Order: sequence, then structure tokens, then C-alpha cells
Amino acid sequence: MRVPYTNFKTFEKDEWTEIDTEDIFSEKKIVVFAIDGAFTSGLNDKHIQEYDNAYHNFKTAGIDELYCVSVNDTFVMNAWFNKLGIKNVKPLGDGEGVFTQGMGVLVNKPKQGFGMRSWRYSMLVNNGEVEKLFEEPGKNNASDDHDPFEVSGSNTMIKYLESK
Amino acid sequence: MKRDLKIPKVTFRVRIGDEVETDGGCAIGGQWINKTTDDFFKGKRVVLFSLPGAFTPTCSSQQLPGFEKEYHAIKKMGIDEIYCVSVNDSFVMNAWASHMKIQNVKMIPDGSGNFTRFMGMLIGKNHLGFGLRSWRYMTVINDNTIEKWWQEPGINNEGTDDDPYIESTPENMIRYLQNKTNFAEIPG
Repeated sequence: MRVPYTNFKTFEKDEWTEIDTEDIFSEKKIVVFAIDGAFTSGLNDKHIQEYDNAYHNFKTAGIDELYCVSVNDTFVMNAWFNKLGIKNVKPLGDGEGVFTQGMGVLVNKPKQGFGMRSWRYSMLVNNGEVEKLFEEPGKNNASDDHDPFEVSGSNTMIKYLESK
Repeated sequence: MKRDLKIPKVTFRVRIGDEVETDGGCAIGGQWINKTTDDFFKGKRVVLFSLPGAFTPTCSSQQLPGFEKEYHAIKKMGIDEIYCVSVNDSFVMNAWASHMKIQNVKMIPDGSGNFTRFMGMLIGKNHLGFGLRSWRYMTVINDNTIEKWWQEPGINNEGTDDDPYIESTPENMIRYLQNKTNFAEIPG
């Protein structure tokens, strides 16, 4: 499947910029991973920090960029990246949930009062085609889970890339 | 326009106790609690103001710090509490309050948008990639009932505005409360 077309509105260096899925994925090998929210849990901090620290390993494995997607707006994503000191991973603020819905992973999180968010997953995208998807088990709309983090971490993705 | 309306009954999911820094560690010490609109509004006279999002420019630079600065002055005018509501989750609201060094104004996280929807203020901000958010308003709520209402002009779903910030200011609130207070002090 192809990644769903999305035009992301981002605020960088005091300016609004639009970046769409063509800009991000065309002619590139990209790894995307999704979290359920900026500032939301130590698990999300861990998830992104793992990828951030492994950036050069991903580069060596032929990956052009790493993106972290979440159903949060660009301001919240930037503030969270700053707080954690993320240097390599790039933020994809999907505030409208368009990308996440198109990926089929937009879930309701009623117990946290979050509204609609992304289920946790990671994927390798090759020139806009999803080549490999690691989705956490138990996707649901009722907050009926303990936020599993088994397959979408950086280690699993690196192992996959190295095995190819 | 919304005077005498009853506040909708909504339960908010609120995080408490996450403030302890774990220095990059995974452990988070906080917990979830439920807060209802009755907890916030019943038996009290309070100020509530809303904004389109935590960490966004206008509200970060003016509105929230403005109310924070005037907190004690406003409380002396017969107000029990000042609340800031936004369609953001509790983690983001807490992080923003901490980032802005807010000590007094209390945050109401309406991540699901249920409160804002029932208030008739849930609008699309898709031109900013935000999804559904709150139009900017402020209100005095007296025992779950709206006493006074201000909202910014030009409410819309298409982003055909430049986020006006004219009505829902601490200055307008103080002017209203002062007049009310003075009026109440006139004997007889």
C-alpha cells in the first residue's frame, strides 16, 4: 500500500511551511514510527529517544530519514522535541489525524480523555510504498490495552533492515 | 449570548503527580483522576477562558500570562478560581503550564473535545493542521450557570480568521468584575 496523501502544516523558525507526503517519501527510504501523544508517557520518550540515538545506524542501513508521527499539532510536537533534546528524528504533527486515519490506525482513547490518536506502530516506506509494517498488537477504540511496545522499537526495525 | 445557560456535564481525565523529573528515565509517577464539571464549577463563581491550543503563539505570549498576572486581583473581585480550557490532553496542558511557569491559573484538559462541543465552541482548525479545537471565548460561571459571556468575532470552521484576540482579555474581565463589584457595594 502507498502512504495516504497528506499535507502537513508545520511551524519552523517562526514560519508556516507545508510539507506533503511527496516531499517526505518520494525517491527515499524512510522509517516512520507513531506514538499516542507528545508529553504523554515515559514510553513515548523512550520510543523516540531509541530512534534518535540509533539514527546513524539507520543511515548506515540505507535509511534517509526518521520521522515520528503523532496526532498532535506542530507547536506541541516542537515543544516536546525541544524538551527531550531530539536531534535527528523529525516531527510529523498530524493534528487533523488525516495521515493516521489513512493508515488505518486512528483509534479512540476515551479512558485518557485524548480523543482520536494514533495506535503505536513503525514502518519502512520505500518511495511512498509501505514495505514493512510493525503494528503493536491489540489495536482497539476503548483504551482497552496497556499500551504495548513490543515490535515498533528501533531494534526490531534495525534487525529487519540488516536481515534484508 | 449564552447568559443563564447551564454548563454541560462532562468528566475530564486529569493527570496529577507527573511533575517529578525522571531525568530521561521511563518511570512516571503520576496517576489518572476524574474531574467533573461539578468539581470545577458547582457552588463557585469562576472565570473560564479558552484558547485554540497549548504552546501556540498568541495565547502563549498574551492571554494565559495575562490572567496569571492578574490572578490575585481577579480573585479579590469575588472570583474563586480561574480556569484555562483547551482541546489538548492533560499531559500537554501540564507541560505547557510548567513551561509557562503558571502557579495560579488551573488547567482544564478537554482532549476529547466533549466539553467544548457541548459549549458550541468546537470548530475546525484544519488550515493549521490542528483538527477540531476551541474557538476563543471567556466566561464568568456562577454555580454551573453562565453569568457573562465574551467570544471573539468571526467564529468559523474554515480558518477564515487571523485568530482574533480582542474580547477575551483579562482587561475586559477586570472591567466587568469591577463594575459588578462597585454596583453590588451600593447600599440598598
